[in-house]
Amino acid sequence: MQEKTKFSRREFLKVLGATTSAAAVGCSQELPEKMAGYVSPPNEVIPGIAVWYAGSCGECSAGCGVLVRTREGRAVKLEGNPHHPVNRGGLCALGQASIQAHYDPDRIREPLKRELKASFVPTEWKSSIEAVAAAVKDCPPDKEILFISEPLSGSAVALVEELKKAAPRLTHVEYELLSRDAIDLAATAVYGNGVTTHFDFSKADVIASFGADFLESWISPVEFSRQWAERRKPDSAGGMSYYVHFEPRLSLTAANADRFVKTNAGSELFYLAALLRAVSGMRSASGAVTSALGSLDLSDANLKKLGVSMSVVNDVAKRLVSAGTSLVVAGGSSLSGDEGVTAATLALLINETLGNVGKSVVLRESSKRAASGHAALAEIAQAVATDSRKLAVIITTGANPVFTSPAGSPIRAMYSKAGLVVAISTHIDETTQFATVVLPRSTSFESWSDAEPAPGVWNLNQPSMQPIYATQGLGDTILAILLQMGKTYGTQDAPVRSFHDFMRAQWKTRTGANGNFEAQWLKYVERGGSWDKPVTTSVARSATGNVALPAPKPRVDGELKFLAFATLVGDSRGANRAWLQELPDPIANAVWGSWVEMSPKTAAHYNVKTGDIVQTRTANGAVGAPVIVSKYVADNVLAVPIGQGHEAYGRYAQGVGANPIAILDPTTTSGGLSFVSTVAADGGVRRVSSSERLVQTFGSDTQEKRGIIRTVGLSTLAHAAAGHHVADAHLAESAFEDHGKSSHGAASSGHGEEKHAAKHHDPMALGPQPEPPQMYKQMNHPMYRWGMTIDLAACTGCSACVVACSAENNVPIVGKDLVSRGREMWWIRVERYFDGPEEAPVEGFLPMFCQHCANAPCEPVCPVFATYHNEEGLNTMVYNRCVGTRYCSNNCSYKVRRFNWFHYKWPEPLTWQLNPDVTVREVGIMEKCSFCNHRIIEAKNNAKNEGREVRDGEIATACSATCPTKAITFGNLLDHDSEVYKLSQNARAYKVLDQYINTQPAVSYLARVRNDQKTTGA
Amino acid sequence: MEEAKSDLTFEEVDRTILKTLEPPTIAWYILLLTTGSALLIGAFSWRSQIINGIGLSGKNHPISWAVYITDFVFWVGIAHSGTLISAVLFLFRAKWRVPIYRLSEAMTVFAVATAGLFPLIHLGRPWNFYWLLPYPNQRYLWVNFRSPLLWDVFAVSTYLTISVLFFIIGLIPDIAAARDRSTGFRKFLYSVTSVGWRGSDNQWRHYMAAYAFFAAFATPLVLSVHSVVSWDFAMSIVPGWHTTIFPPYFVAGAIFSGLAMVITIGIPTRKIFGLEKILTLWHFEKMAQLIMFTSGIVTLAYATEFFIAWYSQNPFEMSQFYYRAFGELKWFFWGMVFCNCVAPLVLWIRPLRTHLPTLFVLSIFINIGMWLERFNIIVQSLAHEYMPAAWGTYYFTWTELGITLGSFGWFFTLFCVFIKFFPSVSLTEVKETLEMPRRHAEEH
Repeated sequence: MQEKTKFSRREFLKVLGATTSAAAVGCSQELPEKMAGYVSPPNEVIPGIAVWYAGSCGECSAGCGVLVRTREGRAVKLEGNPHHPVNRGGLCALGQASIQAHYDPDRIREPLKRELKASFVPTEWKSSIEAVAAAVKDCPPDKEILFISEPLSGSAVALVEELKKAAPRLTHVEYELLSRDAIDLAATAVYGNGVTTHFDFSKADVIASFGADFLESWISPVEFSRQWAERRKPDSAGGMSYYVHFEPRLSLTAANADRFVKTNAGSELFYLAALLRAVSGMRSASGAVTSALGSLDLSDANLKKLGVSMSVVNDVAKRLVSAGTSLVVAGGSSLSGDEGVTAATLALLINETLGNVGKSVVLRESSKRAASGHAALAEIAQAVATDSRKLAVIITTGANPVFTSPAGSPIRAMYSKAGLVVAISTHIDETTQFATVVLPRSTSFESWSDAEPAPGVWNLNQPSMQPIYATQGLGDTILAILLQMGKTYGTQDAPVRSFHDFMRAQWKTRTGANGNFEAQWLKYVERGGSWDKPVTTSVARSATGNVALPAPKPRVDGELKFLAFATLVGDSRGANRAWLQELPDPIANAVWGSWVEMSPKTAAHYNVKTGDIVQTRTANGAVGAPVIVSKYVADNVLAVPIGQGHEAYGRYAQGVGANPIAILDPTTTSGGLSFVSTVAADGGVRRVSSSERLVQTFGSDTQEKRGIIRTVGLSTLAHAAAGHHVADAHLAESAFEDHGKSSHGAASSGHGEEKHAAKHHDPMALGPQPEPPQMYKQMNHPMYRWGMTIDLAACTGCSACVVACSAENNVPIVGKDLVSRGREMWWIRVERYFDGPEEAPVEGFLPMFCQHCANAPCEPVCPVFATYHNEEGLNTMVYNRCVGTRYCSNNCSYKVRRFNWFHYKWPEPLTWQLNPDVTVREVGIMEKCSFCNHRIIEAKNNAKNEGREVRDGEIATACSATCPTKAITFGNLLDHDSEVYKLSQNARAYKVLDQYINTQPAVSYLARVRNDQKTTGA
Repeated sequence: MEEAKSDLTFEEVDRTILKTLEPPTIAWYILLLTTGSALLIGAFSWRSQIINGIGLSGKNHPISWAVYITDFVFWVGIAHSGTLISAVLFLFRAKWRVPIYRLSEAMTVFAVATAGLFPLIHLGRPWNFYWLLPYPNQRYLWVNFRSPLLWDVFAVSTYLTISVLFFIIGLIPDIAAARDRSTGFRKFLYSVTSVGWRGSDNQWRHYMAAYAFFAAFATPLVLSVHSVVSWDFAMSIVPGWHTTIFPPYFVAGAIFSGLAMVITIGIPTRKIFGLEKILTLWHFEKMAQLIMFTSGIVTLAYATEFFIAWYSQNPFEMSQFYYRAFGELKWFFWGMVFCNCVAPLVLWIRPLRTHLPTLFVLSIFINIGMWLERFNIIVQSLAHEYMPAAWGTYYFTWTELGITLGSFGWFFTLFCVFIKFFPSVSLTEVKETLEMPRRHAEEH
């Protein structure tokens, strides 16, 4: 944000004219030289009014539906599509940040080419396509063409089939770092070809996850988060689920578990096998189970050696067996490498034995048509290295295999050995650097595409704005190559000239509509796809009788394992988005870089402490990163997050952190990459001096019993509900035992206790509290009192709200140095404290932002009335009036005010993303959450035009709209029928600090619930 | 030590004091160069801070106030003992104030003039500083009289006005004396500034009335201004700030630091200008005694803060005071304890109380200690508030240190210029303490 932004009104109008006329001109991708005003604007554009386009998110294979908000021809914000069956309106941090990828200042702006080792020079689309088409067409018979892409879906698959037909020597490999290959292979192993599995967490009464970070990056995190949260409240239909998580380190997903079992790296497989054995002992075991367990050494001695606790296994087995429906999933490090398929198979067999298949485990038809996974690509690369296969052309798109493969892998060398290296890419990343022809790829905001995330669910993504640069969508580029090769598609009257035409033809064929297709199509475009046709999502299959699993590699005692783990930002692609770089990791709270997690024992052994920079060495190389010592990491593990350490890619990614993938074991023979490697025994961890440093945003790991995040046990709640008045029951006391009162809580509260509660003000009490006597006249709210509730039982800490808020409110990014000096600007801070019990160490996650107190400490201290309380209950901030005394921030008990220490800038074209409804703040003034006041105003205007009051649920703030688990509710607290009012009166509701300092916040939090019920026996 | 019976004559007083106004020596120029350079460093630091943003200071989230407000309170505190010595002790007829009151009064004016800059330096948008003043405007924008910062604006501006007036009035007869001995530009300057003083009985009567009036006017300011400054903190709800003992605690601290500054300035001035006969050890001892007393008060205040934090069992207060003594900024706290509570104990030994080098070193310690006290109150409290997730710590920057240095440069530059242009010891009042020169009766 270095450049100076001078965006005068005049310039704004110029650009406005330019973009509109570009839209009017049609498919031209060049901005016209002459600026023209709105003589006759396009019908749908009214300056000042947003236009929404439905589309789909292309950040991962989950296929969430999105709505793109555009203003005057520019996309400014993404929302989840509330009607979409996958995400139901939620959107994760990565999805929210995809708009920053769209406006990324480092995007490739035009086709590039280069000779040998020279640097890239701009070229024309026409000549580039001609060159690629010629090379593909003229592929000599002894050579091959390799097409590497992200996992494709929808019409793109059909188009690639056409490409394969046109170029018979083409091999298509789908490559993704965090792939689901092992799960697919396991489904094949158990059920035969053509099926794969999907999961429904809302059906499960008991969930056991083996490293599957389904709340972060695993398969379909938004969908899974929603399903999981549906069953995490005490009043959930079907009761609250019990969730146990096994992993060598505390991930965000693990932090949300009722019980976190810290496993040794490499022991997950044996945990799964022991669990399968225990479960099948309680249920009738099938032949498949017997054969599967055959190859594993499950002797007590071996399990003990691996650190597998049989008491844990038996407890979990009992819970699983006694549950109606349960779910066992495996993912992350337990699902990597050669043993990944074994682990996934064991998990699937447990589900099969428990009768979960068809309920929480859904069998789906597999649409896989291409080879996939790291092993598949590595195999080709190996063949190329030994000259048994020769490559004429490599086309890479949507994948960065050079970055996401170990340094020892032959993949990198393969790129140097091909004749023509084509990259259809948005950035000059590590793989694109090898290209000789670079075809810039449009983002999903600029191009047509479709996808089929689930059987019967078809996403249709339309462009929501003109391409910023001379770029083309993937479909259009492949089609252009095909057309250049002389292929023709479509009919005489309706030739296929663009991917849009191709897709329409596909949809027409598929839907079978003929006469009314045009109307149908418009409906699909408008809604963002089609998903109303009932499709049997479950395929009936029975398990094959015999599943043979390969024997696992022998475990070596006392080995220190190197573990690469995925975080919220997914694989490497989020690295050049400043939002994601600056977003604190919810557990480590680190920003802008990598770190090495290790246990206190390991740290003591190597004599290092948090903040030291260490170099970690495996057989394949070394990476350097700062240490974070954590009690919640297994003793035999060093864990490093994936996604950083780019040498290319862009200004925000380059030179930040280290790439742990580079030093992983390159020898994988099936499925995905192995995320676990062995640290060199000699000099594996060495302290080094480096300019690198650890920047964490958090002040404390403990809340010092201040009741900021509160957790109640389900058993306490159940007891309270059974016979006691909940409002008087000291629900929180079981979580806050040394608060100076009895720790019996509701369990022992009788009538005497009620008196006691009335007499003594208990700052930890939950539920609606009586209004304390007030000394001064209270605020009057005649019509609205905007308020919010956040259900901590549903909040997973995913931080999507943080990114959504920044996108909506033009919150600047300040960079690592300023974050290290406490100047990050996020309006929402997701607090986490390690105050929980040993088995669930994280007390919970709490999004903290302006509480809009009725008795706000910040208001009286401002000498110029820049912040004041309005009659709708908003604590407003008048940016123009602020002189910057910062007294309000000092007096804010919640520390949610953020100050513009400098004039923060956005490099072009990131400025295009700025929300025109929200002021961009200048240096020297205070800012904070406004409850998305501009959205409130919009809704009030609409209501006024229609002569009514604002309806409940009509206003969604940016954070509440994007929340994957719908933990955030916004509305009018004066309306006693509103959802937010009802939730604020919930027995679990409390207001942070209010009982200490009478700030009367408008935000109520609902205490987190931990399922602490003991096993009932089976 | 009894008050020394002075054998000075009026003539000698005039000669000694007005000698300070003689053309400056090279030493004076070197001093001015030093202080002027410090001032320039501060000015350039402020310039770049205005251009780039207040972020050049070390402040952060959660510590929104730090060095500048520390400097502000420090300088306001320095100002206080000036008023105390000149006004309060005047009303109480404490004779020992006489030779030092002019110096301390000048110190008051310059310290308030320095302190007054800091609220502006500290603003995020200093160009809008006038929004803090209640002036009529067509936008109907008004100030918030509930804000202690606004009270501050009034308190400090009132203080500056009164102390400047009081200072000027006290100077009039002395300037007239200087006028009578000077020529050229100085003659003109003093003629104008002595506003026609001829020393008539009538003038003396009016003068004495006005002086007493302003002394009476300034006296409550000694208590009120620093009380209002302390309300900046006490009226907030920050643990460590929100306490009722702040007004007396701050006033005592202000007098403590102000006296130390008088000693810091007085000892070199006495030496350089040869004022040994006028400014005697007896005067320094009196000041040292007052320092002993105020040191005791601040020590008691520190102890009270800790006691109340424990006695109230308020979790936020307890956490805050534990943090002060044992947190990552603990050395600032223990430094303060050493400078303000331990070091002044040497004054209980009488020979050391009148030993000027000891007093000088001690006064420097106290100045540092009092700066640290304000820093601890401001920074440590903010660093460790209600939300543990938002706790922070502090790192200094060159810009704010440059501006702090600049404030000393500004203060001492004003002092240097003042000393050369106006009598730095009151001729009038020194003479009042002497026996009236009169002819012997037998001569009649």
